Amino acid sequence: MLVKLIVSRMTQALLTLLAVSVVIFCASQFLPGDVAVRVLGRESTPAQRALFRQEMHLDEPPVQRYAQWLAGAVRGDFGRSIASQEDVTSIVAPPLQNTLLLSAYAFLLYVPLSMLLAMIGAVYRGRPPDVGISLLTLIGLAMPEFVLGTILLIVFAVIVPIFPAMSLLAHVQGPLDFLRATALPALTLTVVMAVYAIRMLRDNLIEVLGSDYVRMATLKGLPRYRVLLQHAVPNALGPALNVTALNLAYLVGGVVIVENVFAFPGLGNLLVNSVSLRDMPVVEAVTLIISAIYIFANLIADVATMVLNPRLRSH
Amino acid sequence: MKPQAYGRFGLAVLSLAAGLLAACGTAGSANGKSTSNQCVTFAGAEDSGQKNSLDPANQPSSQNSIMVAAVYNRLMGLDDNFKVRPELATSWESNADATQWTFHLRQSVKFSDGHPFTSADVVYTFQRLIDPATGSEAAATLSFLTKDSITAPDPSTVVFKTAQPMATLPNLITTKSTYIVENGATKDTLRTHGVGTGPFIAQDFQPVQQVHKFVKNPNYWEPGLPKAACIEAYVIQEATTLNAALQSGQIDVAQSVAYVSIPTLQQDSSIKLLKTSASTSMTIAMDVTQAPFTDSRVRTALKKVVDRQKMVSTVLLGQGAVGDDNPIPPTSPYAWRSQVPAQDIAGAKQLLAQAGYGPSNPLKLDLYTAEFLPGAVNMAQLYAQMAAQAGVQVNVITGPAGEYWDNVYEKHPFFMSGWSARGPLEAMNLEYRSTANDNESHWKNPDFDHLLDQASATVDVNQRTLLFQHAEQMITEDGGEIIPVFTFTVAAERTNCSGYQPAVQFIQIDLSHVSCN
Repeated sequence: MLVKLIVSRMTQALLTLLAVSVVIFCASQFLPGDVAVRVLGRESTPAQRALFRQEMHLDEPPVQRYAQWLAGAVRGDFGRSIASQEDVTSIVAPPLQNTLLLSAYAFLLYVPLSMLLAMIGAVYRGRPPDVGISLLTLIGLAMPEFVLGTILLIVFAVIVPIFPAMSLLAHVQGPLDFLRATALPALTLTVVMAVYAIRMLRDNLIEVLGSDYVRMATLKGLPRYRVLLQHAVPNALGPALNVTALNLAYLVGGVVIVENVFAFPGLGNLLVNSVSLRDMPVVEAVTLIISAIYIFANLIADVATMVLNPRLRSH
Repeated sequence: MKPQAYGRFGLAVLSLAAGLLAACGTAGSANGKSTSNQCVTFAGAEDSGQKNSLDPANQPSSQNSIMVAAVYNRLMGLDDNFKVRPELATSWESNADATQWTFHLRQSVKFSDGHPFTSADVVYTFQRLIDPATGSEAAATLSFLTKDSITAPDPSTVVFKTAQPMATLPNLITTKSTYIVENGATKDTLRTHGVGTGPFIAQDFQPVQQVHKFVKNPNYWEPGLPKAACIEAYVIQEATTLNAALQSGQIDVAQSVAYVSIPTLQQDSSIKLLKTSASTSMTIAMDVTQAPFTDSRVRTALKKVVDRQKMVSTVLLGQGAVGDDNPIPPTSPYAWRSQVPAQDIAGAKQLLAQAGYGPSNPLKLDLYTAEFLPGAVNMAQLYAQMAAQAGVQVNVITGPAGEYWDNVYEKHPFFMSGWSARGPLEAMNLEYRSTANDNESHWKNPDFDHLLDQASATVDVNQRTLLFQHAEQMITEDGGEIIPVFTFTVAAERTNCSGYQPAVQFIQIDLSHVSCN
């Protein structure tokens, strides 16, 4: 069952990616602005621009250009950057690695933080700890990420200088140094993701804690932390997993603003630069990577939900 | 078990987390650079993305200009009054009618790879810039040169011949693109492996890098320079981040800080602010070939309505100087007058009435703008309020900055623009000559062109300045540009550092005198 699901989902994923690439290519045709002017500058002459368009095959019909690009992409060749003539893979790889590392860091902070706070909220339901957490998550929900990032920046880099303002990856020596250098962007991302998950998980836990089998487990004399961790949490996780899948996609694709606040050399910065340079091969590659991560994060969440909830396995 | 059990469990996890956090916090020195890093850290303001390169021929943003200025030299440098000073050329002279210029090159200068610098490198550099295959933006401004007009009679002499007299040729060949590269260097090698005679050498250069590192050129020809052992160049575009990085010591020198950051940084005793005089202009262009701007009275009225001092204090928060509707700021030694007349609503109304506009038939205009320079949108809105005092209805149309130069600029009769500081002849040739590509107001005047030709052929500096001033006066009184303000560039340097000075031309970046303790 599981295998069949994964296979059918993979097929869907590939079709979705194909659709995404078509949409991006079409959108790029409607983007205002001339690539040649972007690359050669305002002072370039019309003759220089014409020569450039010819060299980059920009004067060929769009359908033909797309077909050529697709033929290359299928073989893993994403072409060359229009702006720098360099291989797209070599341009995309370093920022992709940085963004993935930052995402992993933020995700590792996110999981225990949201579980812990949700459990505290559910257990102390209606009492001061719950009210406090609830209030904090509401504030977090209402605050745009760049405001949160800026506040963290002013507090932890200027007033109490324990973390660096700019994430200097070039000077990182060892994993501990990496954790410190990227602490502020990671913390910002963690908070943005956690606020949704905490609220959802807390509500689910409260519902599960009130159910018969939990009461049964308590009556059997199990310690309450075992009731909570072994019986209640796994059943409350399902919906939170879907939120987590969306959060994972947000981590990789939606970090543009956070990356900008901390001058972090990641995929978001690359995408913004490439769009403003009209460097479509790079835009296509980055968008496809983000879409792929989005699709596979959702697939993993679905599979995990099925594993946790036996009732869903039968179909 | 009682709820306290969770309390203990929670406390345990919390204290674990707090411990981890503390461990991270103490893992290195809390801030700034580790002791092994003695480089001067420089924060640039613009990002060229993957278009970044070490090739001087193309510079899409000032990020390239930082790199290029670190690695190469030009024949001459420029001071803030656009006077040339010796760099790789030690002296130069022209023949009597200024159609032939001879440059004597500095002896025993070497490229950082050991090659001796000779006249062949200079000839190659300029021939490459004017070659259409190079695709350099300098080709247009160097159009007075041809491949055969640049010659090298001996290894330390270069001769430029021109068809027309060129009394300011040394200025005209000193642009952001005219840094000297090695004879035979190609586009591909220059992009990432550019080698120059400059104060620094690029280390492991890649276009897209968080930090671009430049180490001291041990054989640099200028004694005692560069002062820093190495430079690390970053780009920080977010004002809050730049402030935090400067205040915490992560960044030593910032190319420019936002005007809104100035009060915060002024209060910090570890930071000093460095200002230029009048730098980039902010202009409102009127297309004089389209009604109602064909009428000189309308143009003058639209210049008279501006309260320039108020624009400086509100749009630029005081960090700028008033303009006089011509590209040379009134504070320049080349300006035709140093005092700009105050706002004159009555005079504007009178001129508008003569042109046929009045309360029953108000002049209505659409002004196009975008935030392509900080304050550009505010300036347009403030202009609309000032024009309203004279009964002119200005409707401000704001679009996205990203597409402004492609789709809005020069596509409408009334729009905003901005220009980097340039020398008088270069600026007027580029923006006001009848044949100029970038004559955005389409103002054409044969007498004016003739004045520029005359100035170009005049070897005597004082006489030439008089001709410039006459030309400027024509632009101020009749031209199609309203130039209310010039911005200041405000850079920042930590107090333990010294030697950085921003230039009025934003893209001139000299890092050879910077050092930090």
